[in-house]
Amino acid sequence: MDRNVIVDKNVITQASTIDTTKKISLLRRMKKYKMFYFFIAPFFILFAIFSLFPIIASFFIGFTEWNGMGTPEWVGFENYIRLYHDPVFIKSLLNTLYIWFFSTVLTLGLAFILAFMVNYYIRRAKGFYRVVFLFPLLVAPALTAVMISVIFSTNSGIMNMFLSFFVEGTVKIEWLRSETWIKPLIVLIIIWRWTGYHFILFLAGLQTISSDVYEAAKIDGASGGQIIRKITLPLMLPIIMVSVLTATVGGIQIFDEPYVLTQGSGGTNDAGLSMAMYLYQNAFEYFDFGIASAQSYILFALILIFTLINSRFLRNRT
Amino acid sequence: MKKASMNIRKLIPQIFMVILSVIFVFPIIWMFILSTNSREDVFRFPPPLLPGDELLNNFNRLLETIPYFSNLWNSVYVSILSTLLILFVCSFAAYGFARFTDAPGYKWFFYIVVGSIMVPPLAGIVPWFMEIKSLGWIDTHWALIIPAAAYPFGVFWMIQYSKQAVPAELYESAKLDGASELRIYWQIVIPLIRPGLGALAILSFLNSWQSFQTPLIVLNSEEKFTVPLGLTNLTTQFGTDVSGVMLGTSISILPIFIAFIFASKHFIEGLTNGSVK
Repeated sequence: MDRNVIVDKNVITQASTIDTTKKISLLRRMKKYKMFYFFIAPFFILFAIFSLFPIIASFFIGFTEWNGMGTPEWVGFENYIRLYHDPVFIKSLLNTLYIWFFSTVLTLGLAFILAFMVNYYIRRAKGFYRVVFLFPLLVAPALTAVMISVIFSTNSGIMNMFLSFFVEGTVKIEWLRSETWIKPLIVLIIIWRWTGYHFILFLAGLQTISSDVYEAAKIDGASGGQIIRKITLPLMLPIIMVSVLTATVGGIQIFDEPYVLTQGSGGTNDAGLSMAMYLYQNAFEYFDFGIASAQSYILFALILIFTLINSRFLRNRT
Repeated sequence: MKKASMNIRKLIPQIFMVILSVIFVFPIIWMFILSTNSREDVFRFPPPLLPGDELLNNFNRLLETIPYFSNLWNSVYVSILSTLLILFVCSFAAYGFARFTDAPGYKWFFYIVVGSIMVPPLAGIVPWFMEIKSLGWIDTHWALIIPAAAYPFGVFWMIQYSKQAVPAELYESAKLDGASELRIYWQIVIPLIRPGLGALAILSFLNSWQSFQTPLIVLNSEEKFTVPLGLTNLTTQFGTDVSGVMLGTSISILPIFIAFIFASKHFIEGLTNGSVK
């Protein structure tokens, strides 16, 4: 018994001395590396104030009722329950998923076709195409939306004029007020803006695939379709997944385009209302900060889920 | 016979590419065209497809309806200040990360930087707004310049760039020569990472120049507006002045287009490098 106790004591004193020497050496090491903290300080101070703190605080405000004045009142999960039963919120969620899905698939698809063509069929002027398709990225999304709303305006839009060539009389489709067309227009803006960006990434990826691989496949008698499916796509997958992630993070947060196209209203029957827009309306038009914070976290969670799925997918593949 | 079909197969992609480029460039060209046509002609059917001679009238009217020059100036100086601040903060932090890889807590700080790249700014928008309010920054440009400097992606990118552009021995030999850390940062590292800084500068400048949501939340008075906000406000207020809006947009993107054409290589690097790495 006694011996046991003594042994235990020894262990304890030993452990604590290790602990204190560890602590001292940690402090000493931190002192030695004080310049590290000095250099990263400006960023982390700004980051703590303008990113980290708001995100943490937002989580708690999501469980309160608050209009920005007075003290927030704790309401538990009520904001989340209210959102679940709010048809406008559900609509904004579905709209966002619609916009995200179609814009991502169509943009990346078109970008891939372009990159493929330029890489294998275009000998000259590759640089020219890289420049041309990147032009839209230089126009602010809000101003792109203004441009699109001019092109698709009912009475003098060039789109209606173009369609009038094919039918008798003049076409007067109300693109911007239509419940059917507002989302495709938003998708169109995203395609126009982002195709060039992904095209350049894909082109860079395709250029790293050596032509020997294709030669070997051809010798083995693989068809064009087989080559694309079995060689090009698998080799390009990491780049495609990064593009999917970029497009997703942007798509879920879409705000400028629907806001400008619908002039802040969300369009007829909220057909063009995105999650970010509804969040903005709740926060800065109705000053319902609790609901808005809950919405922020739903948005955050969606992006987190997509990011995790994406990275899991990438890790499994590589 | 075989040769002819080969030619056609080669020709189809060429034609496809040309048509698609025309479709992609068309909206921009049409915007320039509309800005030279009168407000009334723009609304005539069919709309004009050729440049008109109303550029000056449109310009004068634009200046009468909104404080366009103030908006343009606001955009210019907000974007420049914001870019300079980002360059400083990010390269400074990146120096710390690239130089002191053994510092205690290094890993955690690095994880925070990487982990926050994907975090949407909207996640904390309500408390952020309250902070800006209590700082007295509502309707000021500080709200657009200072918070934007906490740019995790910029830090991450500069770390990667510094690690690759600055050999580790360089720090030690400079240290042996008696140079202080600040001097090593300013006189040795900054010149070496200049291309990376240039690309980051282009990216941050465009981010700030095109920003719409933050100005919309923070700014109230027309004289304080930046260009995207001022011009979209013009469409909502005076729904009919299409040529004015198009002219304002043209003016705001023209300098960027010219810069892009002369430095397209740097632009492409600035806009796309991030995801390649």
